[in-house]
Parts: sequence; structure tokens; C-alpha cells
Amino acid sequence: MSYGKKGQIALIEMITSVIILFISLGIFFPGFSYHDRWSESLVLLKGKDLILTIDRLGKDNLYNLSFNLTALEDFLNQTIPISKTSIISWSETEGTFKPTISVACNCTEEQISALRSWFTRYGEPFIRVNNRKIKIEFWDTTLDSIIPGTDVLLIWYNESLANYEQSLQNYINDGNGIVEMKDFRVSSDIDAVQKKIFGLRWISKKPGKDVEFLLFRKKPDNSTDIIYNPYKYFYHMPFPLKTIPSTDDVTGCQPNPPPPTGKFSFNNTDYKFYICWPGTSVYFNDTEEIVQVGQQFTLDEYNFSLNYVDNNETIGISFRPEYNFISLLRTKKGESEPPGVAWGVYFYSTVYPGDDNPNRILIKANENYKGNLEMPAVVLNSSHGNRVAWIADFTSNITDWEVVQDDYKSLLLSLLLWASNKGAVGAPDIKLGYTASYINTVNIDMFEVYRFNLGLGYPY
Amino acid sequence: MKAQISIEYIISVIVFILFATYIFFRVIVYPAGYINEIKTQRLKSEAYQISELLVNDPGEPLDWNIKPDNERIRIGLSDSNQNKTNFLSMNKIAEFNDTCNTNYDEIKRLIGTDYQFSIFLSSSGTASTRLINCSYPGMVVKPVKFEVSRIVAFDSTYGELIVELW
Repeated sequence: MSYGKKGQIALIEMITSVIILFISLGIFFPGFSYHDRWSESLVLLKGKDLILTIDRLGKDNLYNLSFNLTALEDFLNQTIPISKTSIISWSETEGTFKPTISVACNCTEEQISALRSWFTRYGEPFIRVNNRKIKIEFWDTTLDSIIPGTDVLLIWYNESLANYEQSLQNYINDGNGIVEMKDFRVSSDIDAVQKKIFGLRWISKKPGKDVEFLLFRKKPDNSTDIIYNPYKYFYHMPFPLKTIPSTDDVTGCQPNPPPPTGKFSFNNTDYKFYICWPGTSVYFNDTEEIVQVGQQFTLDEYNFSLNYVDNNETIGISFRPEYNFISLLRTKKGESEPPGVAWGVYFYSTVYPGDDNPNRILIKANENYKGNLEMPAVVLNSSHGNRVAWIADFTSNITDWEVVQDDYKSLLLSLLLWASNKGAVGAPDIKLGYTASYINTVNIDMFEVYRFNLGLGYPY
Repeated sequence: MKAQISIEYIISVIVFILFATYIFFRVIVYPAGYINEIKTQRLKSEAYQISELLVNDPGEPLDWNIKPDNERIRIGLSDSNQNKTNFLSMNKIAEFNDTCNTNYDEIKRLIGTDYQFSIFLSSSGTASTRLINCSYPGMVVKPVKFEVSRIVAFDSTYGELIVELW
């Protein structure tokens, strides 16, 4: 019996040794397999080819397809039909306005209604720049829970921000911007948030003389200048003006009946205009001048350009340098304001960039504070790509929002567009996908540089 | 009893032989797999290079399409007047197709490849037409074939250039 057991143990040892040897061999001599990445390379190559081909098919073709998803899908269906290739695609733009800009507004219902009447029409995309439409949506929000997914926050409410520092910081850390339209009445209004996020400080000084007008502090030095984009938007982006059918007897030109008419308002004056037939020119009643699309014209010694006439319903006028605002900065105390300083000499919003950097001032008064510091009405702040702006509340004396003038609206729009999130949404969740990028430019109304991303991939 | 071979010994010898055979075949197969993969990679690289040459190189001389055969050094379809990537010349497309249909080996020489190939260019859209139909004149017997597809523009329209190599 003992011999038999010895034999069994030797066999078990041998089998164990063989198993160990095979495992060791499997580790030291693994089966041959080689994974190249040609399939990924070809997907990336196809994406690059598609972008270049789109660009080669005509001037502004890539620009048109960048912002026209239907036309882009048609092109992709012709070139890489999903039924044959199983390739799915997506596209996005970076560095310029999104097709729909969502504005979270910390303001009253009346203010939101006013904003919608200024910047939207029938809920359709209303802003038009470089021949593409941009839709602006306004959503009511609180500051402790800012609506996620929005692109810019407009604070148009005299609420202290002291309790919302973290919420605001998180919001701008996500690539969004903030525009604050507010008058500061006392030094305590400049709390820690105003100092840290908006970069403001209170100064107890008054201007040497009464402010007569406000102006852009300077021209941008270059494209990295913080004021470059707001300046560019104000002076190049057409501001849309609505028209309504009228019963007027128009003698200056022949409009489509009923004559579509509207008003262009700035510096406390309304300029009535009519769209002339066939919709490529506008007649200004006051100057008795017919202005063609693309033509520059002058009203009250200021220069403007008629950028477009859209369907006999809307016209787009852009301001041209140099333009001066009046009444943007409320500088004198109203009759019903709390006591402290006598009526007529109480200066609001005596603020200055907290870092004493005057280059952050976009708009300033024509008069300086005593001591020669410039008196800002719009101050920008940008650090680590964040974009926030403070603008004096140009509506503080107004009860009827409809009478707000177009120069102020255009300035506010420029700030909202500047501050808005211009990042890409990102690729969908797919197994394999690559994005090809192309830096493109367009210059119809204004010069824009943006990145077009075309992604291709396989869903499984 | 001493001359008898024990059962353990027999099993050990069998296991040893199996083990040695296993190692032998593993060692034999290993380099062959590598060599095949190297060949495949070279094929794929060359297919891509040919596609790149056709799409983004105007050829040498730049107007090779109007030169006699003996003056043609390298072939490329890029439009030298536009000098843009992914934009082909219609004249060169037509000349490429004519040359290939009459002399496949001349195209092979100008492309500079040892592989066999087929090259096709079709315009996209509803009225799709094949502008280049440069097929290998013989029978394709090689099982390993690699295909590179490029999207290109030409003459205000666009299409797909396919390079097959084996």
C-alpha cells in the first residue's frame, strides 16, 4: 500500500509542475497579437478631409455649414451615409456665440419681459450677425441656485451679493460670464463679491465737473486687450430694430404696402424709418435720406451702417466709431432718494477698478473724479478666462422699459455676448470617436475667429 | 524488475515530449506572426501614402498631365493653380484615368509602389459619376487588401477617392 501511495504523489507533483510550467510559458511567451490604430487614424483622417472639402467648395461654405446643422447633415449624408459607414457625426463651434444663448436673469418679471422685448421676436432667433441668426433666451434665476446650462448671468437687481460668492464663483468657473447692471449707492454696496469677482472698489470722490457724456475710454490695443471684443461687438454688430405696418403716407421712398416702419433711438431722440421696396434700403424721415444695405450714414453727427434688411420686418444698424452716450451713468441724486447729500449733487456708483488698472474700463465719463481718476460706467474683469462686467444701471430713472434707447440696449447686448459661454458642448458618449478641428474666420458684419469641430465615430 | 520502465517514467517522457513540442511550435509561429504584421503595416502605410500623394501633391512636373510619358516623374492630382489641400484638378483626374486605362504599369511606376492597386474617384450627389476607374487589370488573388477612402473637392463639387492596395 505504501508503494502505491508513493507513485500517486510523484504523479501529482509532476502534473503540478507541468501546470506551473504551462502557466509560466503563457506569461513569458504570450500569444502574438498586435493592435494598430489604423481604424482610429482613418476616422480622424476622414474628419479632416470632410472639413477641408467643405472649405474648398466655396467662400464662406464652411462658415455656412458650421452654423447650419441641417445643411451640414445633408452634406455628411451624401459623403458618409450612416447606412453604409455606420459612422455617426457631431459638430460644434467654439470661441464664438452659440446659436442659442441662454441668459439666467436675476431680475424681476417686468425686467425679463423688457429684455425679451428688446432682444427677441416671437421667440425666434432675432439677433443677426455675419448672416447668421442668434437666439437669446432669458430665464428667471436665483443667485443661490443659478440655472445650470445657461451661458451668462445677468444681475439686474439691487440685492447684496455677499451671500452668493461661492455660487457666482462656481458659475464663472464653468466658463460662463456675469453681467451686473447696478448702481452703487453707498460704500457698503461694494462688498467682498464686488471686490473679488467684479474687481471694483469704492472711491469717495466726485467728478470735478458735471458729466456731459460718456465714451469708450480707448480703442483696443490688440485682440488680447480685455476691451477688444465688447468694443468690436458694439461698433460692428448690427442691432436689430423691429418694424410694424403703418398707415403713413411715405413720400421719400416706395415701401411695400402697408409701409413697414420703426424707430431708431439714441441720445434722447427717435429717428423714424421706413423699409423701402424691395427691401434693400431704408428711408429716414428726419434726414430724408435713403440708405442702402451696406451703406454708412450719419444721424446727429454720429456714424452708422445699415447692415441688413430682413424680410421687410427687421433692419440691422451698427454703430460706428466714435459714439458718445448720454445719461448712461446716473450721477445726481433723485428727489425721492434717502437723505445724506443734497439733491442734485449726490453721485452714484463712484467706483473704480480695484486693482487701479484703468485698462479694464470700457466706458467712462467725459469728466474725471477729483484727483484725475477716470470715472467708469462699464468695468470689465477677466481672470483665467472668466468674463464679468459691471455696467451702471441705465434704466434707474426709467419706469417704462419700452423707452430704453437703442444705444444702451446695444451696449448691454455687447456685454452679454462678450460674457456668454463660448465653449463647446463636447462629444457624445460613444465607443470610438475623434474630433477634427479647423480654425475659421468670417468677416461680413464683423471679424470673427472660431474653431469648428467635426466629430466622427462609431457608436459600438 | 530493475529493467522495467515505471509508469511514472513513461508519463514523464510523454509530458516532456508534449511540452517540448508546444514550445517548438510557439517559437516557430512567433516570428511568422510578426513578419505578417509588419507586411500588413507596410501595406497600410503605403496605401495611405499613395492616397496622400494623389490628394495633396500636384505631381512632378506640376503640369505632368500635359507632358509626354517620359517627362513624368511623379503623379499627383492636386490642383497646382489653387494650391489647396484636398482640391483636385479636373484635367489631372481625366489624364490619370486615361493613362491608367491604357497603361496600368505606367501609373504604377509614377506612383512608385511595388504593390498592386485599384484607384477609384466618384463624384458625390444624386448624379454620381465615376471619374477615375483605375482597376488592376489582372485577377486579385491576395487575401490581404487595404483600402483608404478620401473625401476631396474638385470643380465646385466633391467626391470620394478610394485607394485599394494588396
